[in-house]
Amino acid sequence: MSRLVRVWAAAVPPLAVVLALLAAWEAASIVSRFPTYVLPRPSQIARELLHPGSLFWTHTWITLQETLIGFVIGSLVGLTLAIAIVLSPLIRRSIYPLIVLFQTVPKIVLAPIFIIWFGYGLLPKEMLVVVLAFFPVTVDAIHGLTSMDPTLVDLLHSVSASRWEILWKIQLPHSTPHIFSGLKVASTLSVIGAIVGEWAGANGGLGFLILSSSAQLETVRMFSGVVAVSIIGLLLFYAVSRLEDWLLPWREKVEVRHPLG
Amino acid sequence: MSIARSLADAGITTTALITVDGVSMTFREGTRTVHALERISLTVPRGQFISLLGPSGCGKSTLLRIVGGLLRPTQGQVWLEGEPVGHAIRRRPFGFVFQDPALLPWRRVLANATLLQEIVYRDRHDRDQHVARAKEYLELMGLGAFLDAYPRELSGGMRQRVAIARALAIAPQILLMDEPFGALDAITRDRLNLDLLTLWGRTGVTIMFVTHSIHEAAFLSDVVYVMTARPGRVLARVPVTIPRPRALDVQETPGFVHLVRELRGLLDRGMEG
Repeated sequence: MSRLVRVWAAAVPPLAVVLALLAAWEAASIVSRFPTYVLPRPSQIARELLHPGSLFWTHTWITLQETLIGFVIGSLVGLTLAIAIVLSPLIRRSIYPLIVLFQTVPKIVLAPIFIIWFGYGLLPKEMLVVVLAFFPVTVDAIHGLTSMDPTLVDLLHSVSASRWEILWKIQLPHSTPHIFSGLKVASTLSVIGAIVGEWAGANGGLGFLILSSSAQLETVRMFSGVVAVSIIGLLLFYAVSRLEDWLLPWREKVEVRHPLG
Repeated sequence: MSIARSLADAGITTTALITVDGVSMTFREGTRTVHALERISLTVPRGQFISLLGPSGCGKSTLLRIVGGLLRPTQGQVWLEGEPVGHAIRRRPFGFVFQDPALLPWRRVLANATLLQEIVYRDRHDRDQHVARAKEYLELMGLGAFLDAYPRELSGGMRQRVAIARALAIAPQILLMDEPFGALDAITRDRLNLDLLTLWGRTGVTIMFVTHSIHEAAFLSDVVYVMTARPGRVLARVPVTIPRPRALDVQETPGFVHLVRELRGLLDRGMEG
């Protein structure tokens, strides 16, 4: 089977379900005659999304920036922390417990504080994204860096490998699949961080758009905001997955198969 | 006391490549102490194939790890031609092959075989030479067509062949093998035993081989050291006089059958303590 055919075969079933659900929704809202401000029709939402000259793309661009910048910085911070914790027993004992303790604070409550500290621009939202995104990367990277095959450790000691050689040649490449698991979780948290950050105080972005549309009973616009947020989340997750496939061709792909198929 | 003097006291001549001199090993597990090895002395002449044969838990792997410098014995010393083995290894490491091939899944076969060279020759790094040497041994192990494969695409036996090529590529004076074929099926194991003998004949490398298979020890070795269960002691040194080159059907000859019976008898005695 060619690649294109396979992609197509994978995409058809979920697409069919989505289209069927949208059609049912469209039909139900026509039949039930709910007012548009309660339940808009998918066709209305699509028109709002695609209608030219709307402020919609400006808001999407703002949220996208916050999400991406926060995600990249958060991931780098998470990875750096993991390496430091694995390399230094002192850091492991002094900083790691604090990180875990910090994780038990619901991070969302930091959003208003960041507004006071960093103002109304992009920075407080990016900070919230960083704070949400780094932890899963740290935890998964630590797991990957420390779960080394004991035979491999023996082999490297037998040739007097240095600490850096072990980190660079073995531990880091070994931990990449774990790091990517962390990145996938972090990517979904990043979108949440950006939206919540905007809710705490903003004058732009999809979170701001959703909140202000809600206040004005502009339900169609609100729904289109929700759709746009989902698309950002999906695209980011997809990008991370593709990057993983591209960087780690050696990895055994885990496919979900039917037990009898 | 000089090295030569202490060796002479132990009744050991210095012509051996490896000399294990009165090695004991005690592990402490909480309040319990485990005597893994007790006063082991043996010699490995250059170019020979030596096996350590014993039941599980007799400390033969521990002994191999001590010889390879991975563990420090509680008592005694290991010498490489009159030099403490710890020093000798830092200058020129030994080759290790374990039961688990421990390949790096993200490296292709060829890059796996150069891994140890990159570390051992880090100061005089010469990529072309490393690749050439790794290729030579991979081809010798019959893997010439699989240089670009990932480990997950190989069978268990082929993975172990890569591990052997990787160990030989650093040009070790001695190859230490810890039940290398223990996880393989009997047919693959026979094949690898044969190929290992061919390789040993061509390279002239000294081999120290740990196994709990009587047949394997008898088929491969010049000398078999039979060990007792805990604490591990050398029960007997059994020279193998079966002529080389050896083919698999040598195992049906009366001489081989007799040797196997002798080794089994010794093992049984060792189990009774």
